[in-house]
Amino acid sequence: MAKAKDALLDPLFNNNPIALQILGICSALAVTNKLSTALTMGIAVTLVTGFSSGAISAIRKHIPTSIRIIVQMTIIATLVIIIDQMLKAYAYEMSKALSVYVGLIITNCIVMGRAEAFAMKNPVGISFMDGIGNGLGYTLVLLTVGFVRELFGSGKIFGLTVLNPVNDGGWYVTNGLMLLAPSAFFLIGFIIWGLRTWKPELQE
Amino acid sequence: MSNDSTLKTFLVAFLLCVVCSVLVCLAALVRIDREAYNKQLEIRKTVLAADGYQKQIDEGGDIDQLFLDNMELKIVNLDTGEFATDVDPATYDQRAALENPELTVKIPAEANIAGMGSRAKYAAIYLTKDGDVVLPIWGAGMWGQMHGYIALKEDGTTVKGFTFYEHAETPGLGAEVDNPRWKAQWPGKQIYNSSGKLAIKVVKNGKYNSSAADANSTIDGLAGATVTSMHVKDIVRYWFGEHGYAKFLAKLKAKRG
Amino acid sequence: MSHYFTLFFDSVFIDNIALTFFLGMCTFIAVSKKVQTAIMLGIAVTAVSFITVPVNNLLYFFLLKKGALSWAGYPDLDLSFLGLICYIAVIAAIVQILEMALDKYVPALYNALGIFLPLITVNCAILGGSLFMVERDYNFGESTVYGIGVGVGFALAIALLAGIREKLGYSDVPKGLRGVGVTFLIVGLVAMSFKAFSGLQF
Repeated sequence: MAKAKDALLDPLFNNNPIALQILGICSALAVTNKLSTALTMGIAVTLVTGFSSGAISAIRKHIPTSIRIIVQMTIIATLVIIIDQMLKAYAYEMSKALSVYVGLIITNCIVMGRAEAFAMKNPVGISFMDGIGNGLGYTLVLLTVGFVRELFGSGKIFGLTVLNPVNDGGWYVTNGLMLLAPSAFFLIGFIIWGLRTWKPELQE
Repeated sequence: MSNDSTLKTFLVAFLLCVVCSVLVCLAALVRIDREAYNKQLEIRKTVLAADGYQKQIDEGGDIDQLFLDNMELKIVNLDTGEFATDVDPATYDQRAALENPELTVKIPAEANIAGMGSRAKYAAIYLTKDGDVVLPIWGAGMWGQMHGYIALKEDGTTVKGFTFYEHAETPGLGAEVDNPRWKAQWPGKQIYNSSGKLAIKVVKNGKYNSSAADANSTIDGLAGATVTSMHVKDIVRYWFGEHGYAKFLAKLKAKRG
Repeated sequence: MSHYFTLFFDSVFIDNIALTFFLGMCTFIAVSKKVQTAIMLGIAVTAVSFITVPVNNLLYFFLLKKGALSWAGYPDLDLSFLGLICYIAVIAAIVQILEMALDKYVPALYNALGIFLPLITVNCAILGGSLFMVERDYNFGESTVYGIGVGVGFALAIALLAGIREKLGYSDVPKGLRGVGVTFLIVGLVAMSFKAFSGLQF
């Protein structure tokens, strides 16, 4: 049980996929301008990583070496397509905002990375936990960045107005930089700085 | 059986493909089922919003009922400017028509200001009981295609409303095309000037002069989104030009006297 | 002809896949420590992109999009939902073939690239290139030019970052920021500078 707890909680801070393993960056930049898209993406990646790690772990003893990578990719791609289709069917507005980036979960290094590094060598239960854990670590960073970007970029949190922006007749002059991707770079840089100052053992 | 034997390799690959294909196809079937309805609702909302029914939509009105009560679908042949009798309005899909070479026309390079390359021969437009026309317009935006509807009053030149239902512009910048305060500029603007020439234009944000002679054909662009604003201008000017609805609107005006 | 030049120029500078669309970031940040390796990776990415984007274009046109299978007698079939899995399969296959070809005919380059060649399979810039090609509905010629442009743009961006990071070795960076942290801040700044290209219009 302790092992399962570690698998779930380690990736939150000690081994955060975005801040420390440098995985899953692309989507972290693209979908964090609004908290709603950040959360949806986080949930999608968590589910895909968990279930793909679980599935790959289940058949790990039967995968021929010559097609190992393609088998992993096929399982991951299938899960992503299913989520993509479900989004299009039941959350149409959300799927329009996420467009190209949902497809890119297939190449999200976190999913492939955990499959190779963990699921191929561990039993199903703990692989699933590891996948979910890494997904949660990823979601944590996404929500943090998304919170700052949406709040200062459009004065809203989850679409609800907190700082009334000038465009809607209020007082807050929105910070345009926050809506553009470079701001996500700066924020992740600061998160890494904060994390490594808090836990000096993680410094390079 | 060894994992690396040829037989096992084929077996694993084959089984994996079958299982994954079945799962993916099932998911696709669910999506196809819902998608058609979602898209139709989206378009109906946009057409109604363009024609000034936003308040009713916001108050939770039955979109489908409002739509059926007020909008009449007609097919227009853009090359002749006449209503088309040879196309079935119930099954015609203007966006899908772009993939059928027989139903598309290539746009000559010098007229292709909206970056589309080709357009459908027929347009699915809506007429309202008051004589308004609601026209689908689309073109290249900064990050993807922009699709919307623009409603004109009976005179074929005064704008009633303009709403995009699909675009990929940057939230807070280009996506402010959806901001009601920016959209509020459009009602009352004139597409064509008194001599019938295409006059509508979008200027860089802040350059709008309300006392200029052509102010009633000028829209103030989006703050911080010059590129998107210019794309909107090109899209509108293409569709109300010679290769868009100009012929149709001229004929409609003539018919109405 | 000028249309192709504009497309190429656009995809290298204005629509730079790494600095404007932020695709391929993991490799971008991880492999940009030295200019030498960065350029090697850039060449490899360009080679893969140059082949996969046009091939995926053919796949999309003749197999997947709505009406594509009319040559086989199925004009109503729309298989575009299989797009993602097909493009990825093509990319994985091309990378595998390129690896084997380089190993046989240009072993020097193969050894120099090492692990980076297989890593290109999961580089989102490559898949992103194919996805954008589909979304913008490019024809075969445009796909080829766009494929080269994506690769060259990525190569340019990663070489640029590597150059800056090499110079940064002489700076006194705070302990918590050293390595990856300060790289993110730099990439943010470089990305902002590339925004200057977005106002260009041809």
